[in-house]
Amino acid sequence: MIGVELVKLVRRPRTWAAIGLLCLLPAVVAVFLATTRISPPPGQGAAFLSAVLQSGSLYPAAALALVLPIFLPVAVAVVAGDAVAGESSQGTLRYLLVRPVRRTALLVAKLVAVVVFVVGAVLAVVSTSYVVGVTLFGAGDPVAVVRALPEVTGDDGGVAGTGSGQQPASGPAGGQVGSSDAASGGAADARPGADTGDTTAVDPEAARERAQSSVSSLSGEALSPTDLAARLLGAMGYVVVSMLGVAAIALFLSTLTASSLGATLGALAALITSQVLVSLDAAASVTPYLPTRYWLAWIDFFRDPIFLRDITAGLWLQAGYVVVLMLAAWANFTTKDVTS
Amino acid sequence: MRDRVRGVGAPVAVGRGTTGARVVRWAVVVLVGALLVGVPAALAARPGQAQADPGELRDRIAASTDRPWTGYAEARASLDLPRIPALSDVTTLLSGVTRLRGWYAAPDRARTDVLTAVGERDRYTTPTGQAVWDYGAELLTIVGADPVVRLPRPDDLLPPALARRLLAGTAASDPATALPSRRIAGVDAAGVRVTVADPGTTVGALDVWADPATGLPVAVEVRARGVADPLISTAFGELEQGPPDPAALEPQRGPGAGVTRSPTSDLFGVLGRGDGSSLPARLAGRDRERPQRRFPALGQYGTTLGQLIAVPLPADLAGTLLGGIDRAGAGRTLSVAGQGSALETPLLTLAVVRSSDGARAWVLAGLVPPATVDSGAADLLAGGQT
Repeated sequence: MIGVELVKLVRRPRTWAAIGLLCLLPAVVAVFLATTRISPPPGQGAAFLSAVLQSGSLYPAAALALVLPIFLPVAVAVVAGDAVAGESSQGTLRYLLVRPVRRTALLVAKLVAVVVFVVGAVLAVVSTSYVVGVTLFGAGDPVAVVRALPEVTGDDGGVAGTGSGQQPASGPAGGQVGSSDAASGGAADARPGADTGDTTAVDPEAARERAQSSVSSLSGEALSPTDLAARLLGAMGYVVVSMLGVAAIALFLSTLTASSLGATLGALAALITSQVLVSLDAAASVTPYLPTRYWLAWIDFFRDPIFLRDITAGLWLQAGYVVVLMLAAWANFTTKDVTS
Repeated sequence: MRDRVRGVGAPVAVGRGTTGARVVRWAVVVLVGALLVGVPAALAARPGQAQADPGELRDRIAASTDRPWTGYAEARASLDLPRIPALSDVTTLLSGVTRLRGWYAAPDRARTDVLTAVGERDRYTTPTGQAVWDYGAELLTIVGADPVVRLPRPDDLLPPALARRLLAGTAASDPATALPSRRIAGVDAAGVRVTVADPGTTVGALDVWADPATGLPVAVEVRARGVADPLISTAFGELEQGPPDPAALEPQRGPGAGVTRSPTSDLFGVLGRGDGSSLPARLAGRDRERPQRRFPALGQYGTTLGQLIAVPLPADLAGTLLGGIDRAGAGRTLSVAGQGSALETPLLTLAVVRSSDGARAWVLAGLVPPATVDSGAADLLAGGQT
């Protein structure tokens, strides 16, 4: 049963069109960023978009931030809304059910197919945006990293203890930050000078090590490639789970109506309502129960230490939606007369 | 095609007796849904049992500075200040929700992160000073020292900091009464209300809930006189008492990010180094406190909640602030000899006063009623002329 649904999913051109479009948006944004090098001002725009100019290996995270609010939920709602209603409107549902197939099993198979679609879509977005990001922005600027070597860490007196000897190196680094903020093409121009200037005094071994972890968490901690990959995996998993609530809403509506469009639009209407209420202070009493309340919590994987509070709450919330709505879908679908 | 298929055979029905099954199944759905919503809500709303003598609790809170903790808090301030350029950090802080993550080992070993949807801003306090990491600007700023009298900043809204700071401004004779206990972030917290008797301040009462065992404040509500709802409320959402992970207290600078040094991270810290000769010795009936070393231009008048703060402003900044207040349309024009505009909230009043020749200007602020600001402004303008 599940196999049949998966084959159906893979064979549909619409699945691939949806995934293709999802991958296209981050690619388009990346091309504009790379050609103009104009990043959004700090604290504005989608998360991580300013940071990717320094290292393309962060671009998958930026891509997730781009597709999460609208495109991904729309794609999920389209696929899940069509799951049962589509069969119904094409008149294939009754034939499907004439076979010795339990309706509950069919519902589960439909849900599994939707989950596979979400996982596939998120994987596709992350992997294409990684390739696009590293191609267009490079995998971190080693020069910037080497300049950052005199770290402000260490003993208790760390902050003041950076000492005068290290002070000169931090001057140019600060300047570079300023220039990238001002969105000039300064980063590329600065490389040759920095190679001769700052690197002479530092241990090349340490420089290489630091160059490998040229991405920083939101808290300023340098992230090694493995650390970054682990956090990215966590964020991807969380985004997938966040989409399960949408999928469950659309799937439930899909059992109510014979119109896939109706089910899809119904799910999107529910999401938009939720988004509006989340931003409304007056609705504070219900916000913890809204499906989109913890959507943005995936970014907490990039804090240091990782901030699990909202992530945990989001996981429970989505689990609640899936349980209740799948039960509702089951209650409706297994006792429904299928006439088409 | 569709019609043809529809025309074939009979509907796939589930048979008779399904109405009963349907009702049962929907009942299961409703029950599970109600449990999922109700159980967490009931758990959160269950009343606490903690009891403590209000006077003792108040003393314990004041003595809780050495209690270490790690946690997450949300502060909600509804002073509804308009956004004023040059003061936007303060106006947004006091007119919205701030999400804070904190690590606290000792007064000089702490870290507070202000979380936003796209980044964070972290302030580290170390024995030698402070460091501020701004992810958006990719900049670590090493701060020399901030004055004692300074503008409010996010870490002031953490429940322990806010409770201790405000309680320190109350008089020992202000009555403390017990409040019903609350469960906050896993702590069965006892509550105390300190009603402020001093008519010289707008603060009506401070409600503090604290762990009765350690005295660590876990929630604070600040009430203004004559306003039913608290204007500032802050509470932990997550709390672990005990020493924080020392690694979290080390300032970090991201690769490629810059470092700057700044003598202070506060606007008053910059202004306070100026010339304080235009500050009178007495303002609205309050005597000036001895100025902090290196900050001669910070005028602190009084030490209670009703204290007034006056700081001389350079002419250009005074113009910017006056323009900002006027543009926001929320200011009250002061009837003084010079020029003056005040932003008033039921709790905080902030005024900018400028002499008629434009040569001298001050910012005047406090948790004080409008009449006190008026009289303070008049004293400031009169002070330099004699």
